[in-house]
Amino acid sequence: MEITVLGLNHKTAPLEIRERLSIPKHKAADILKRLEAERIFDERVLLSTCNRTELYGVGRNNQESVVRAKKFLSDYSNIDLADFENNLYVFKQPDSVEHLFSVASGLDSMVLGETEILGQVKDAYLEAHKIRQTGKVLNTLFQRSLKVAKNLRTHTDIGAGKVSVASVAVELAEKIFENLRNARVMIIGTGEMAGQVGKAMVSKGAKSMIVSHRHLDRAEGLAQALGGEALSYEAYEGRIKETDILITSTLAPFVLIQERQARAWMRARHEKPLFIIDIAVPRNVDAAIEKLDNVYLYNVDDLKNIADQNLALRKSQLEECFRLIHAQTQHFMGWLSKERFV
Amino acid sequence: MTTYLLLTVFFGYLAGAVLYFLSFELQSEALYRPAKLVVFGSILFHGALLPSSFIQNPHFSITTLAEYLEVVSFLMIAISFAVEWRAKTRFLLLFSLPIVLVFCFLAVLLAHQKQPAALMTHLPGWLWIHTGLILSGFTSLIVSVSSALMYLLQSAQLKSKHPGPAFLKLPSLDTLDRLHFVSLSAGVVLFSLGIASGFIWARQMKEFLEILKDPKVSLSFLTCLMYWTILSFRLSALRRGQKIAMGTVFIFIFLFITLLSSIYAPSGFHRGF
Repeated sequence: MEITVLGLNHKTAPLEIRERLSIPKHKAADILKRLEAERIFDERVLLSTCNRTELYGVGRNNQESVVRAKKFLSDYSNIDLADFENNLYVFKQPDSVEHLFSVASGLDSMVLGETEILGQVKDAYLEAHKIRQTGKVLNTLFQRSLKVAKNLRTHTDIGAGKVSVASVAVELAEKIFENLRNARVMIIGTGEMAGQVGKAMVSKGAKSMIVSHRHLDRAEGLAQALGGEALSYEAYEGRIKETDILITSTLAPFVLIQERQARAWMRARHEKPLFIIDIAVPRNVDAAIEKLDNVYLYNVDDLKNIADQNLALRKSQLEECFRLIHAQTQHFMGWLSKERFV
Repeated sequence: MTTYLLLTVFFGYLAGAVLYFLSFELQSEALYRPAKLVVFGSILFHGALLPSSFIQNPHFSITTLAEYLEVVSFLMIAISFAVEWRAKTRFLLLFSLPIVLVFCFLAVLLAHQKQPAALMTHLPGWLWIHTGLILSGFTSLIVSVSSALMYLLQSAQLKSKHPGPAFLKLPSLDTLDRLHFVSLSAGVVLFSLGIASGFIWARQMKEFLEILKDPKVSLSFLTCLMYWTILSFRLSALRRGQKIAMGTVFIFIFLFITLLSSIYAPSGFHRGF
């Protein structure tokens, strides 16, 4: 009995191939049953996300199963095998085991250390388990992979911090305000980045979105997309008192918000904390504002620096993560030989 | 015997503080649980020590400064533990433990104080209320200073724009501000009521003028006044956040000096207590 993985991912295949070979969640059960009917592996789990499609199998004659699985994928995607065979990888144990542990831990993801993949691995396993496609080996392997991923998060900094500008902004906001559901966001300007940051805040429950811009029609478009309210530029100062997070992203070639203005706002707000994110270049907010008590001002470079620092921290953990994964792989292989599957 | 047992409690808290610090500094989630367990074990041991001391010396348990510190440190750590657990203010204990350690250490050092005065062993009703209120107020004020320190640290991290390891571990500013405000309000009110009950007792005993000469009383009165000033600023929302937190830390230092003043004061009603 041997564990094999056949698949492709964002590192080995371009998007055009990945999207053709992607298997939607609702089709996974059907595909697994067809693989069973064609006697491709004795146990099997299909993992398909936007960045990877992988088939984990256990069998006695895996070489033949792999050949048949490749043909199956070619038929499924309507692409000649020759057009994507070079994008495929095949790992045999113990590499296949180590690969699954790395995938579940987010070490093989496009965004290093992301956690979404853990849920996807779990769902893929449960789907296969539900329709009796897994046996003792894959059950143990996938359950172990979930434990390894959680262990890595506990013992290393692989999941520390956020690594995109929008998520860093949300993380900072969550460290200022107890709950973003009670926070109100105002966006001045309709830049793409401001929209992304605003969307990230709204996804965390930011109560209402007030979008203000010199062109009210554009503001209305963004407000609608974010489920908020549009305001004219002249009206925004009147609403500052109720704003907790202010995002500026206009093309104005001068400073829109002066220090004395912010000082007056803070008095009106009874010194309630104000988080200002200045995404505009040139900057819309006077840098002297950051010296005011209870005002937290970040510009796009500040956010990017934090994202880069977090990514560097995650990368620095890779060696330790692979060491832990290697040890866990050895441990699993020990179990496999003890159970006489090897 | 009690001194050695108290020393054991001290080392228990010290071990907990070290584990907390390592968990905080190394970002190690694996050390957080043992840290909590060690502190919890020490709290249980400390809690068991208090009634056993009473059995050994059957008199009111806070008749000397050493006993007072022993009880305050117990109340403070127990409340901090409960607040950290219930209010999701992770690492509150990291900031409370150093104060508890100082109190425990002083309690060990002062454990050989003289036997309590006869008056204190047979405490009249008003003094029970006085000491009870002062104790609870003091404990609450220690929680407020711990949360103020956490607030200042988190705020500094956010202002620096290069958040360090502490940033992810500490709760949000809103959470800390709420905890700080609640504990400060409760502490100031209880502390003030404690002072008032002391005055009422002194009037009944016709000692009113005498206790005013006590440096601990005048310093407590001054401390209370400072606390009310800072609380009124916070309540009127003229100031909040960093400045109020800094004020709390500053006044707490003054409160600590007030507490110790009776040891070194040449005279006074609270002398040695």
